[in-house]
Amino acid sequence: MNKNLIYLILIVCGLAIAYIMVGGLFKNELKKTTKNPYEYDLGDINKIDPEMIKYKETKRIGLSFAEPKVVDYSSGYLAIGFENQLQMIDTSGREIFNKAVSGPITSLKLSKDNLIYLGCKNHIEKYNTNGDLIETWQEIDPSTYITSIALKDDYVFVANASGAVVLQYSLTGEILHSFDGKNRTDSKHGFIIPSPYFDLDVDSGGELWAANTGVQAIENYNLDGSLRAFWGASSYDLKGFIGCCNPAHFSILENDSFVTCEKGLVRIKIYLPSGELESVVATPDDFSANSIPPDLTSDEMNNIYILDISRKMIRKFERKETS
Amino acid sequence: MNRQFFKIVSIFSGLLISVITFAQQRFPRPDFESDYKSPSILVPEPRHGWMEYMDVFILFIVLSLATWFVLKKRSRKGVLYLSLFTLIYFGFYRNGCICSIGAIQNVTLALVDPMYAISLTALAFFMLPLLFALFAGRVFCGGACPLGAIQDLIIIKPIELPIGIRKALGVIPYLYLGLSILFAATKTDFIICRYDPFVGIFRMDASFNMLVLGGSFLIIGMFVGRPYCRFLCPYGVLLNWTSSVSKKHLTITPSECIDCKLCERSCPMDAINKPVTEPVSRKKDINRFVLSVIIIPILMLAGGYIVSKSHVYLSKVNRTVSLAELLITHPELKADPDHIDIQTFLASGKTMDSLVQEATVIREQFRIGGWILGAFFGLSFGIMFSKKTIYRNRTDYEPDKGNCVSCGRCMDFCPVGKEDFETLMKLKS
Amino acid sequence: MNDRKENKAKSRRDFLQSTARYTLAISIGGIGGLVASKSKTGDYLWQIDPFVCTQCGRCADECVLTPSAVKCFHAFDLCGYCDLCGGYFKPGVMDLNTGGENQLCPTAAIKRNFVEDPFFEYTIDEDLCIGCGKCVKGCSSFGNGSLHLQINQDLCVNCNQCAIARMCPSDAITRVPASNPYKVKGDFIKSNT
Repeated sequence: MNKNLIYLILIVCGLAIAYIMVGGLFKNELKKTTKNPYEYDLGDINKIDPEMIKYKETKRIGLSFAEPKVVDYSSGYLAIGFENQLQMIDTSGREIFNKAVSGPITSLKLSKDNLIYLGCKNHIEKYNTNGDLIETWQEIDPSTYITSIALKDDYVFVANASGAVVLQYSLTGEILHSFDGKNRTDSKHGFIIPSPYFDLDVDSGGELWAANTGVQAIENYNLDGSLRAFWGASSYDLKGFIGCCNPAHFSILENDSFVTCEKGLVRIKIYLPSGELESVVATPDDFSANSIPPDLTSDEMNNIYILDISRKMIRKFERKETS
Repeated sequence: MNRQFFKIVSIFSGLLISVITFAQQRFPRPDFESDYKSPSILVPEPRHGWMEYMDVFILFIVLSLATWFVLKKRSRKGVLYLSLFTLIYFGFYRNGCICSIGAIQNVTLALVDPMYAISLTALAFFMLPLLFALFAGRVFCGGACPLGAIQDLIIIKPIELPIGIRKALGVIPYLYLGLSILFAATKTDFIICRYDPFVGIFRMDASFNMLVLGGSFLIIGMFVGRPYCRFLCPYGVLLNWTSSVSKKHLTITPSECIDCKLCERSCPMDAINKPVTEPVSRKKDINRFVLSVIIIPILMLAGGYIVSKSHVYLSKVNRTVSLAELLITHPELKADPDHIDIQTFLASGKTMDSLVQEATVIREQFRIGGWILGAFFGLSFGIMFSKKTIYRNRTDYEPDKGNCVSCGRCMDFCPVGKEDFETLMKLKS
Repeated sequence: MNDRKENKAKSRRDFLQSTARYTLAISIGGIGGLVASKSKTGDYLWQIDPFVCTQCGRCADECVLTPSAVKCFHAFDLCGYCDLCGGYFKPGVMDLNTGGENQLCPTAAIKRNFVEDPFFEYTIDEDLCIGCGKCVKGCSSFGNGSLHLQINQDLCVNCNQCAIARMCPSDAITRVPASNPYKVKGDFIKSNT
């Protein structure tokens, strides 16, 4: 073989090695933007018809404590539960009181007579509007995870997500009864609660509603724990609820409509009492990406208060003027 | 593979519910009415484990055998078969990992990072070949290194490189060693492993660039003996040092060299020193040596100054530094939704200040490391030059103890002790 | 005379060489001892912390193996067994059936089996899984996050420096002790950080 040819081959290969090693090492890999070829593409499902959005944001109240968790409204006041702090403000944002609690707060209910029922993971604490602890109810059992409290007449309903049961308390803290939604033939699976989202509320007629997140439905139960009615559908469509644990939160308005909040794709929607989709309050675009589903509540005027957890603020949404 | 060894981890649901505080929580699985039982998560066991210790044992055996073949048995064939075994076992079977060359970085990291504990396997792979080199020369290169073996087997038509080119390229391993230690010590990257040219061949799976890299080395290797070992291998530098002062070493001839010149062209690695008959003038020699020793500190200072000056450039290899720099120079990229690194950083909640601080610390490490590295370069080159000044009267053909990889080719060329030659000699006399 | 000089030079050289040799031997031993003193006998392997992972998709492409040693693992205990699975279905599908056009996984590596009303079981075919993390994103957005990425230690060749770890934008891949080579979800609790 020709010696010059060999030298040529050697030089070419040597340059290739130098190019790959030196070039590769000192190349600024970060400069080139690389798109994820396996991007999870939401497609059209986060596009919501603007006609459907019938609410607008009118107020924001910044929060000053760490890790906001839950919110509730009653007669002009908002109670906000943080990880280890309870705060009460009026709707203008003026503080009534704040109090450090041992927590961890997982749910909260403000009664009409301005008592605060605080769900602290596995027990209930009761506070008055000065922030004084009135009583502490007995711990249920260590595994309990209280995600919601609802009041009806002389009863306190407590949702335990880890046991997938609703507990019925007397106002003095005695457990009277509990049910898992299974005791009737047409509700064979009962509550399916795959994650710590299990909300309760009571409508104007005194009916207890529970979000059965495992089947993406909102269900109405009798006091004895039998299923009366339900609505909801598992679907990517705007009309239904997506995924495994939705609706994460809901609240019943004065007109007995439901305002619901979904996790994953945070959508705040209004449903008529019949379960028909009425309108949209807030779209995923209104929230940061991957945000924790916000807790929400409503006032007498059917304004919606949303606790935006990642941005640490209360956001008030009012219905747009209808033309 | 060892799927029958799947360890089944059963998870005790409910047991840990009491510690729930986070968004990702364990909740009891649904109560299935049918007799469906949800499967447990399967975690296949690592392939290695005891095999790693086996590797150390095999390395020791191979090194011992190579020593025996080179020093006692004087058998090129033995070394050849041994390197074939190495290629198959350490190369293709063990996928070229773990290797002594890469272990330099593990040792470096273990020295600088108090959190990192080196595995004993890696440590043994680092130390054994060096210790063998101290007493028997680079038998590791000849028989126990899969990278050496693959190159040794493809030498087809070796050509002798001009000495100037050889000397110039011979500087690269020092640079490579220094840089790889700097990058390992700053936790930037393990560049020896990243640019291991043959690991892709061993795994039979490589990116295009790595394929070109490996291919280029193999093509060069057909005409230039062991190009990676001689002109890149950082571990070769350490072996060169230890082997230079080795107690015993491969010899071309079993007894007396008869200066027959038969072995002169036998070494494809150009590692045979020819007899030197220059007249020795001790006085001149010593003067030159003293002079060269004096300039070593100057070289070290100069090297340290130059490399530390370029620390900004070197530190760009570190991804933290490079990300911080990119965000400062191109803040508009924050709006690019497709830039994964920047978007991940922004979503992580880390502040720009903490990133810049982190990058500043790393860059400072590079500045200090640059001084050490530069001084190391100055020292190595100084020693290289001062060695040049010592002329040694050499009457025989000898392997260069530092550069010889103990492949044993030259031994076959030496007629001394061979049957035909002895008969011929007898007949002559 | 000349011979003696030569011999003297030779013995001096020998002396220098053996001094150097033993110095080197001691320093190698010293370095070895120093690093070995804090080394535990165990080895290290690479693993992903699923709570840090952001599913950027690089695990599929950056691994030195094809397909990647990173696979999707399913913590059945966390799974809601839902009909509408965010990890199985492409977002926005109309019909919840196993039609190929409905599946999110680019290699159809997730199998959906009916258990009982309303539950479905989802399992991963590891031979098909390429570790892209697309389903993990869907599952953690809409579901419970029971799907997560892990390095299958049976496949991983345990490179000295994991090629994915270098490219991981969230530094989710670290060395873990070989005695505890997995960070599967549902098997450990996130450290309080």
